[in-house]
Amino acid sequence: MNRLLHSANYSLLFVLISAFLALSSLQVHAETDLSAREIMEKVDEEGRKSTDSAFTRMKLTTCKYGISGGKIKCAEKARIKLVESAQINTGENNKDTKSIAIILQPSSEKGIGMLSYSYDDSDRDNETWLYLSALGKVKRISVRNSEDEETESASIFGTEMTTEDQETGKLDDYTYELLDQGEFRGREVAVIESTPKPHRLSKSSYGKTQSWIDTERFITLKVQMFDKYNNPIKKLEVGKVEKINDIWMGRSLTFFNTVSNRLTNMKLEAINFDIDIKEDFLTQRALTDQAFREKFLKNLRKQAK
Amino acid sequence: MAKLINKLIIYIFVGLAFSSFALADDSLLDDDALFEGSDKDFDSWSDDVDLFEGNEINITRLFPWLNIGVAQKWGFNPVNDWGTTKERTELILGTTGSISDTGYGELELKATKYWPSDSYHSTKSSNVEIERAFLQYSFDRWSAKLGRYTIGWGELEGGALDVVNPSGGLTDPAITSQWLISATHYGDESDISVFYNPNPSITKSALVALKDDRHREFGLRYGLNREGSDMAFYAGQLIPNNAVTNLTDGLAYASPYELFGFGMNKVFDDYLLKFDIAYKRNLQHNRLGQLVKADRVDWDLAFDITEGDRQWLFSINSQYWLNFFNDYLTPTLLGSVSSEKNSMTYMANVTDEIGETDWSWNLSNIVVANNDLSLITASLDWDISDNLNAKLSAARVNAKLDRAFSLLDDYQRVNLEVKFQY
Repeated sequence: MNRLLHSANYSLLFVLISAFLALSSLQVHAETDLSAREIMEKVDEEGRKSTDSAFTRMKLTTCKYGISGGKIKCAEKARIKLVESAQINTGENNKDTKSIAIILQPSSEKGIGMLSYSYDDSDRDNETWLYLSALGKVKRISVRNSEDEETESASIFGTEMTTEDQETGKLDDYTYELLDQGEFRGREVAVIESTPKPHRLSKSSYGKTQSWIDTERFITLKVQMFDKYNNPIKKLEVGKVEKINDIWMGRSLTFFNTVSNRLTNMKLEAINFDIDIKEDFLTQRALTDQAFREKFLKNLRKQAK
Repeated sequence: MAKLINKLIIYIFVGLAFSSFALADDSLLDDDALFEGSDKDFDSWSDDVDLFEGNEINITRLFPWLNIGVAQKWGFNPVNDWGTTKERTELILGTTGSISDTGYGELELKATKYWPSDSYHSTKSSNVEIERAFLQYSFDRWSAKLGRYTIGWGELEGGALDVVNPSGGLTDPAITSQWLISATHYGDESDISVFYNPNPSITKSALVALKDDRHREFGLRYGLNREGSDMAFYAGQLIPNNAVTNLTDGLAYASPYELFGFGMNKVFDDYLLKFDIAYKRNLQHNRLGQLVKADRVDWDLAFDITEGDRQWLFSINSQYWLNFFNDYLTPTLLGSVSSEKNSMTYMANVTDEIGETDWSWNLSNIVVANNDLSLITASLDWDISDNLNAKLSAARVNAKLDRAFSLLDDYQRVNLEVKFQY
């Protein structure tokens, strides 16, 4: 009886050890108890921190890419745009964003500005305006809402980034599924699939996206975008992740259009948070009134030093 | 004991097997193939990936305050054995920058050399002009601008309200800047601006003299910005950009007219609707034996559609004479033709990139004045680099022989332009 108990105890012990090993092995790769939606909410929250009252200078480099020696390389002379951008969070619970981006170089595009308002509320369409100095006027841009499944959102300054790629919020427009958890590039990640709900699908270029989320820092390390026929069409790789002002963020974002074999690398050359950016600046006036714009930009550059 | 060890090993394997079963679908966490669905094999992505192979492109400019542009333009007439109609070189020098804490200025000068084969060469071999020169000052909610620049009124370029600056016409739609003074007050969701033009530029035939060019123009615009829509109200005294030839005395007139207008845009699903309407009072117009002042309502409706890189523009424009008489006449170079009570113009324009290359194309068709003239243009743009651009364009006109544009019938041009900007 004792032997049986002993044996049974040993068996129980081994089962427990096995289960512990199995679970601890799982535990290495899966740390979070959060649901996919909760993870995306945290990512959205962290993303807002990285853009609130931020003044950045970025270099957008676009080229056709190829493979050389197993490495991805630009296959042609790259096109470069130097852009300054200011952004604040606003609205209810600071969930809307207002931003302006102005091209500094090349000289042929110098002074072209884009003003964007992005709303968290699903019922409010985002707004974008462009200033075209040759026409002396501001033009509202129709952000793509087409139901045509083949078309894409408008490109930002001729790069592989689109207006849809820079949208924030609107979490209610998607359903989220946790596809996997584990280690990816040395970080604990959750892979989350976001599928637009029917009303959103008609306005989106993507049938779904898969995001690799660092579950400790709640930043995105990689995004795979699919068309509405489930074909992979675009990919975002986030590099040079750094903690700046206590906020984790990627300083190098590369968008790969895997259909056209073109890429755009967005390198944040300078980023400054907690800058005093007045909401008055993020209006159409900043596009048409160059004196007003330069005065504010000078002030922002001074704060950024 | 050995049994125990064996059991332990078995259980450990069972445990590991269970663990690996739990993580069986780990392909999403692999990083060896950067592009799924691609037959290309990539190394994994990392911060060390050097897309530009160490060739960091230096974008620091030698003279950052100076903008330089050089353009070489050629034009050919296919109807006349591809004879050269245009051969000119343009040099553009410009600078922009802040002036004190509240000011900003821009200056752009253009020098043009007309080569012997250019049709302009017979009148002048070179020309220097100020393309743009202005000073702008901004104080609190006010802004003032003085100099030579353009003011874009209305939603549609060249539409019912875009009347402040003249354009080069159907075959050259570029807008010409003018000397203007303007001031704007910015509210929270609105702005009000006024402008004064001391010397409006007036286009007229070289064969006729302008009777009176001492008139000034001024105007007011009140804009309202709303979510999903912008709108503006306009009022002013304006001078026609094109003088009217008086069929009675053979002189050109450009008397002021009054304008009251409204323009708006609104986003609807996948397109942007633009609408302008203007009531133009005291426009000069020819009647049989006299030059009269008449009122007209101009309106336009346009749809801007953006589908990725492809952009469509469809527009309808109407010019409707109020108090129309059957003896209204429109002057032509050879005499005159009868005017119509309502003149409709239709335009369709599409621009797109060729695949994902540095090439883009544009195609447009404009049907003017109730089909009196039809203009088809096509162009091919090549952005060779950030600094170099080439454009090949072609235009063809078909016009009714018994109507106002008869002389333009079978007008054809092929133009080539190469432009370098630094």
